[in-house]
Amino acid sequence: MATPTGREKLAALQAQQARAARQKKLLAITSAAVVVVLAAVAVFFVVGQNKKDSQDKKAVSAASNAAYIDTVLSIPATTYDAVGHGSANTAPKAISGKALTKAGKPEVLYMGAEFCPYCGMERWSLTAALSRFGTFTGLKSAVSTANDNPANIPTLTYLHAKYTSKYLTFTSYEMADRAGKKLQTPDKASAALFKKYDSGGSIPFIDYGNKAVSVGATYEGASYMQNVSGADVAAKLKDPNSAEAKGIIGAANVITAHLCQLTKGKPSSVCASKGVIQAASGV
Amino acid sequence: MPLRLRHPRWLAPVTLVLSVLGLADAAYLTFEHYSGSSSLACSDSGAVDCLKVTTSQWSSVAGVPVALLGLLFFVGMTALCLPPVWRRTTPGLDAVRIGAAGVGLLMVFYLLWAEFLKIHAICLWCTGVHVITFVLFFALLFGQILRVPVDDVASAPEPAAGDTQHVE
Repeated sequence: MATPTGREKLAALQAQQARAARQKKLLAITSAAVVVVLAAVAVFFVVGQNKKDSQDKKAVSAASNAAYIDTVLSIPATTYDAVGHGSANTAPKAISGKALTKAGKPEVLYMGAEFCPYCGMERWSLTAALSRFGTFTGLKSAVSTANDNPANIPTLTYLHAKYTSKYLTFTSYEMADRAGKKLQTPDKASAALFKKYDSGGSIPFIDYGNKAVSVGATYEGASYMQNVSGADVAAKLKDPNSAEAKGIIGAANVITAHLCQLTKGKPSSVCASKGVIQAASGV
Repeated sequence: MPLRLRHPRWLAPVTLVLSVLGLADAAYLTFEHYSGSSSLACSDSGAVDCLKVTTSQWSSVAGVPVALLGLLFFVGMTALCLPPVWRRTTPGLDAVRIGAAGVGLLMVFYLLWAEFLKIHAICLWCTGVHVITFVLFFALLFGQILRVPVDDVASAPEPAAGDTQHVE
């Protein structure tokens, strides 16, 4: 092999230096790319956090206007009939326990929490259904937690609610607030029913006089109820063809059909109504 | 005469270890996806909520679970980072590795967008996959840049089994 000439050695050295310079430049560019990628992730995080905080504040602010609760308590019979079964996608399951009664009347037991999004959805329908048999007072507006999926479901809370009816009694436990802080503790009998019929411990849990129980919401409202105001949802209830009416009022009719089994069909103006009969047959 | 280059010695073992770790993580997430996520070992409240992430609408792309896409990605990357494959001098193999890792990194960006801006929660197992993909991509990139001429290392000890020689 021939010995390299001085000119060849110089060319090799220059090529090596050029290569080293190019390598240095590429390393700097790639290092900068690492920084850019990490910065982009940080921006994602900060923007996401700000968006979440903003939605949270908006949801809490919207819930401070409780006027929508009156809408839930005064849905016209014609709207119930027009919706019928609606988009209710589940129904309470029949059980054969010892009849649950209080003050000589069938008892409906609700166990949930203010942070829980599906409790938030179910309260709309349960409240509407129960209001057809009696009168609520002390209902307050509320919103489920921002840290769950779905987030910020506008709703109402039973924390300070009172219910009077000549047909039924209603017992409710909001076991935790929006932040998950403990609120009401169920009595032993209620806790035993919860343990017996809801082994997974999921909420909302509703026991209909020990004749039927439900775990979870009776309709799926996640797509149209998160991060909106209660007033917006209530406004949509006036249109029987809206997703909100089909979900909330459809589920209310299904629940009403079960309440009618407890009240033995009373009052007939409710239990013999077209919407309830259709919901019962849909079940 | 063309210059012959070889990758730094750390590249083959580092990329293989990263790919195998990613494969294990993605396999676990895929198993959890198809078994209903009932045994997912992760917090389920607050900002770290694996279940919320793995059951969200962003956990599938065109009906294919992202966990499965991750598994397929790491199966491919593990195959590409095996020592016999690193020893191959097939033209374009480096570009395929970096390109594939780049696609993986873009997917990571999409998933971070979904986690931070849509789901508002992160999943630790998914974050593991994201970090591994990030490190893998840049390890491949740095490894490509830091290739050295074979002549420069002629006096160095014998190359390891995973060392590759390329022609530039």
